[in-house]
Amino acid sequence: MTKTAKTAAVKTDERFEDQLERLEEIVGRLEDDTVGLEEALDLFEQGMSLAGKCRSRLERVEQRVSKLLEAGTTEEMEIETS
Amino acid sequence: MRDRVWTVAALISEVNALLESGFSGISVEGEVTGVSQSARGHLYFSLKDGEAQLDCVAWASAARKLRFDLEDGLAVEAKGSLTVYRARGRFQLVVTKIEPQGMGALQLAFEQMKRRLEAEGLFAVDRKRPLPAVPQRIGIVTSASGAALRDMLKVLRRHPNIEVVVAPATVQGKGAAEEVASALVRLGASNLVDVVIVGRGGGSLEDLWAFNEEQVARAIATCPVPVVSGIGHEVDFTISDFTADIRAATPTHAAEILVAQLEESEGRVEDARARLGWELRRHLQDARARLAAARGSAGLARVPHRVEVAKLRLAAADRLPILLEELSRTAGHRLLRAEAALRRLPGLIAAGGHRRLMDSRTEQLATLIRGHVDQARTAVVSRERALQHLSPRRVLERGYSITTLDGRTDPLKDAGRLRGGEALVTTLAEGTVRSLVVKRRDDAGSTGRRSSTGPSKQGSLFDDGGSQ
Repeated sequence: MTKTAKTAAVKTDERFEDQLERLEEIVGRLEDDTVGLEEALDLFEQGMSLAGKCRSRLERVEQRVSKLLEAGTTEEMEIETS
Repeated sequence: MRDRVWTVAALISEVNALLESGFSGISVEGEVTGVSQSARGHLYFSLKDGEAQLDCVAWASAARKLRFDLEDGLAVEAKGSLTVYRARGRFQLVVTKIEPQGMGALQLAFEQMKRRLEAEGLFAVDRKRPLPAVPQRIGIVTSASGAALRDMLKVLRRHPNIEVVVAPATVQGKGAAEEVASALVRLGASNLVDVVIVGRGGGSLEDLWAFNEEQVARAIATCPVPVVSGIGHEVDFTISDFTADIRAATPTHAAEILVAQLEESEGRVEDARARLGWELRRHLQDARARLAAARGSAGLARVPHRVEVAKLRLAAADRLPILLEELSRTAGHRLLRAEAALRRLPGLIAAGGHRRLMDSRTEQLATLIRGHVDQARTAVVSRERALQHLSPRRVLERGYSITTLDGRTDPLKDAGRLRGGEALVTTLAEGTVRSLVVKRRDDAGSTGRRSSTGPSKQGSLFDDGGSQ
């Protein structure tokens, strides 16, 4: 039971690099002409789901500049770049 | 003087007075030998040449100012004053300054440090860590007021999904090395960043010196996330550069390296997405072609039409992610610019003292921005919804179905293989239907390929179900 929970946890924490590799692998399989239509639909769905995960990972943070203080906390930082 | 009998102490005092008046502030050149350092930090050594040797001492206060390690065999020029060590009656040079001969003190110190850390393996290639695939949360150690920080932010702010955490540090002069090292440690421990840039604009060897100090090199080496160095100009190499996981030529270049890495990862995802859509479309076209070849009759005219519709939708799906991306990026940028303007406004207007004007203007601006953002958001949401409709499962919901021979799982693609009385299973959006084949349009043919028009009865069979 514990083991199952652990495996699931690992899966959600899957590294971006691994997700991207799996995605590219799926694309590679979809490029194969011998894949049947039904399998192609499955691959497409899996691929889109992975691509969605990758994208949301890439959009995890929004543009922000902050300053790290001595205490380890942060505060917003104003810097003129122009 | 000759007739007088001296006490030892008086004689030494007299000699000392003569030495100090005649040999103070002199410079001596020679080769260093027999270096030792006391617990208090005083440095004892001798200077020698082929014929003679001179005892030297550099008190801790002078020894501390020495930038390089005093090593046996080093050719130096020592400046100081002669004095007698009373307890032993020996004279010695009390050194206030030592310069190596042939190169500057800093250059020598740099070479010594480089040799030492290199021998320790701190610069080894197998210690270098690769950049993270998504260098999104970027820590920067640099001066909060320096041009280097502005240069780096200028590059990093071009990307909407980069978060910057600056750990400010004095990068030049007394205490700079300590500050840079402790800023690195704090950033590493904060867990807030994926990667760290250590940066400083150009300057002299002296200006960049903090980045040649051991404690900075050690802080870089032990940082839990990869470190990119961008110190000085292209031609400047510091100990920090050798220790960092990646050496960039300048602070700007360091920022550019990270943005490029992030964009590469994004590109790979988008490329995979586009290819998924393209490949699926190809499979569908292929299926359509086979269907058309198998039937090719007027009774089936509507089937290619349906596939044509699916094809168009998929073509739209290819473009949608790109549109979506552009739209959200533009909206994000606009919002950020507007927010920045809004933040600056109170200061500007307060300076003029027009409090009320400020309030009303701020409100106007906020309403305006909100309008823009809402608009952009609605557009994004509606496009996303449109994209969802293109999911292949929705194909079934639109009334298409997949037919297999009973007991098989591969979709039935060729009516020519059917015999009367065989059982079919048809998968609809909701549930499945099991049915029997009454009659095939051409029971005699083995290929099922027809060029002539067939009875309308067959057309209705396909209109009801088996099309892909």
